[in-house]
Amino acid sequence: MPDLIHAHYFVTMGPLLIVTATAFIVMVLEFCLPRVDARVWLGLSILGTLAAVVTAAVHAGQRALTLNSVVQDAFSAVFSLVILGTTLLILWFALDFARREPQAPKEHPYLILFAVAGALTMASAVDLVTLYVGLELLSVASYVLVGVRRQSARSTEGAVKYLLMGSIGSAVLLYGMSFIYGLTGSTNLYDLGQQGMMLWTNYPAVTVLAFLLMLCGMGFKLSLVPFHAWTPDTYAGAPGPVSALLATLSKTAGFALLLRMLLFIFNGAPQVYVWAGVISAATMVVGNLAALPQRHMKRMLAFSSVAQAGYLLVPFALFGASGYQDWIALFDSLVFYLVAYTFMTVGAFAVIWWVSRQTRSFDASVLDGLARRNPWLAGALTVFLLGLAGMPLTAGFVGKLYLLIDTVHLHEVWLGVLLFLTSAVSFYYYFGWIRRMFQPAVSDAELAGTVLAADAGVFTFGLQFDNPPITPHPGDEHWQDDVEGVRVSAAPDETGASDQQVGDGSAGTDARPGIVLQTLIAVCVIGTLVLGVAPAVLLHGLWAVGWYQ
Amino acid sequence: MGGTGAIQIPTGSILALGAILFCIGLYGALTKRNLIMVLVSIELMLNAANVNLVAFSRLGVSPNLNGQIFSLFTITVAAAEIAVGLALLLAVFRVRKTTEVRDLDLHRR
Repeated sequence: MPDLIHAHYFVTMGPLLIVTATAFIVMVLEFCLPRVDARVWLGLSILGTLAAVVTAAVHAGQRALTLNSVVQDAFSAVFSLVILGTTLLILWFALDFARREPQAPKEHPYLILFAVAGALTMASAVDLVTLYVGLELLSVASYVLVGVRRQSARSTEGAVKYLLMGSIGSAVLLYGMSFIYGLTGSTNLYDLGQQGMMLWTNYPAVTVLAFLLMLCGMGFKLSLVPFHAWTPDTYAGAPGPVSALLATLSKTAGFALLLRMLLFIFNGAPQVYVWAGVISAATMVVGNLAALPQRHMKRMLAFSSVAQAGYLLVPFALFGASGYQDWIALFDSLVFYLVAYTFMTVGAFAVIWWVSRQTRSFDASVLDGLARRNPWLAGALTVFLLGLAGMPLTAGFVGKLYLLIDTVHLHEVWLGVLLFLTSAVSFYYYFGWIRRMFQPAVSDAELAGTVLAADAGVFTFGLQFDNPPITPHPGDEHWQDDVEGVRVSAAPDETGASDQQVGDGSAGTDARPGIVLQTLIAVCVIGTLVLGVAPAVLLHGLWAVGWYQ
Repeated sequence: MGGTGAIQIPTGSILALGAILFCIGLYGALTKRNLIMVLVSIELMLNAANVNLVAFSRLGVSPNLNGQIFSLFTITVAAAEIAVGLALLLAVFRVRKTTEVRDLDLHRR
């Protein structure tokens, strides 16, 4: 027992300190040694993250509170481990990305680590100030990650949209927080938890206003409907690993922050949670319907992730109606679905990145006949899509089943029915991809005709709030989105279609993914299937955590 | 009502000032066509929250310094955010030669 006075600092903030230190080391070294390959820095980042995982796992059973603002409890232990696991997957993905794209931005490793530091803060802070600073650290790092390819018009455009919407969201969130502070005179969540009942009985109107402001503010960050407009553009503009990071890591952290904040502050006001149900319902419906006409693969995954955020918001609607003993089930189903969603989404983004890099197009038609060209890749993508759709034997099914059981158990059946119906809608677009992969070769024009006709048939009731389907002309390719070294001419009205790529020629020659990407996809497939066949693996772990100890 | 100093200002007026600032900012952020004006509008929204925090820190249910500390953090974070915003704006301007919001439609073509 070397230093008892500071021991608890390492218990509460160990992973955070390690990740931040690694980020600074990588940043300084990268700056000093510009000639070294980016993969070295990614390897160093992975080592640092592994050390953080070990620290988080060792301290998972301990309980401590530091400076009245950062805590180590069951909640932060579970979410820290989920966040760090996601980080490993994304850094692994970035490793292959850096190998294939020699001109990939070298800033990626440490920007990802800074984003992770923010995410870990969001998972373990118990003070509104600390939570806000953590959220902004994650957000600002993400804005830069999306826009760091300065020459790519699509990247910078996606980053600007993300920044504008994200900043509006944080301002709205902050305005809501200011009312909570005004009514209670405290920013500490434990103090606020004591005053929850007083808040609702004395100031019901302001409490509802603050709840709505905070929920909507986080809605911008979590891409909940109606604040999701930035999502498809940003995901499509960002490089593959960064899209995966935005879809998984920042959502996990955002839900952790939202959960802790709402439960502590509004535990005495069960009536306000119905608003979370309303937003969840809107997100499920709009996300799934908007995904239907998409032909750009990343945009479809973006809308799919909007819809999944709606499913993840379902437990939030149930907290008001339930007692503390039921909350354990809600925590479990939320974390289970987050882990399942992380595996499926990272895997799907990895496969999509590989396929689009090979074919230099993000149009869904490049999936035609993938099962013949590369059966393993097609099989893996099928598993991820089935999981996202919620087929039995995959993690997505078990996760949705638990959410459904929760809604029935806590008498909010309408949400469960909506969850079921919107999942049924999602089968249409997920299976569209699977059909494309496994069908025999069809001529492009013929195929485009049938698909467009099908879209028109489904979409006669005016749900075209997003762009019309991309016309399947192979000329207007967006594959440059993932290739650094794109030069865009400076004419005012140039489009991305005029991007000229330099230094390709190696692209498309290697038909098989490297061992790094294969490992990543295999891990995601195994995760999806194991959690689907034997969910007890994770649930027993969550049970052993003991949420209230 | 009012503070403890020589000049008494009703709490409601300050909160109204915050609300008005917030609404102007939100309106501007959603309707302005120039990216710089949108960034300025977002700053207005953040400052509305700061006005609230400082007002509550003096005139709230239980006055203390937490609100002022919070607003200091907010100001710092907002500065970082706007710095990144302006850098991205510059990057967009270099590539596209425009700072109009409606010209940012590459993804919709």
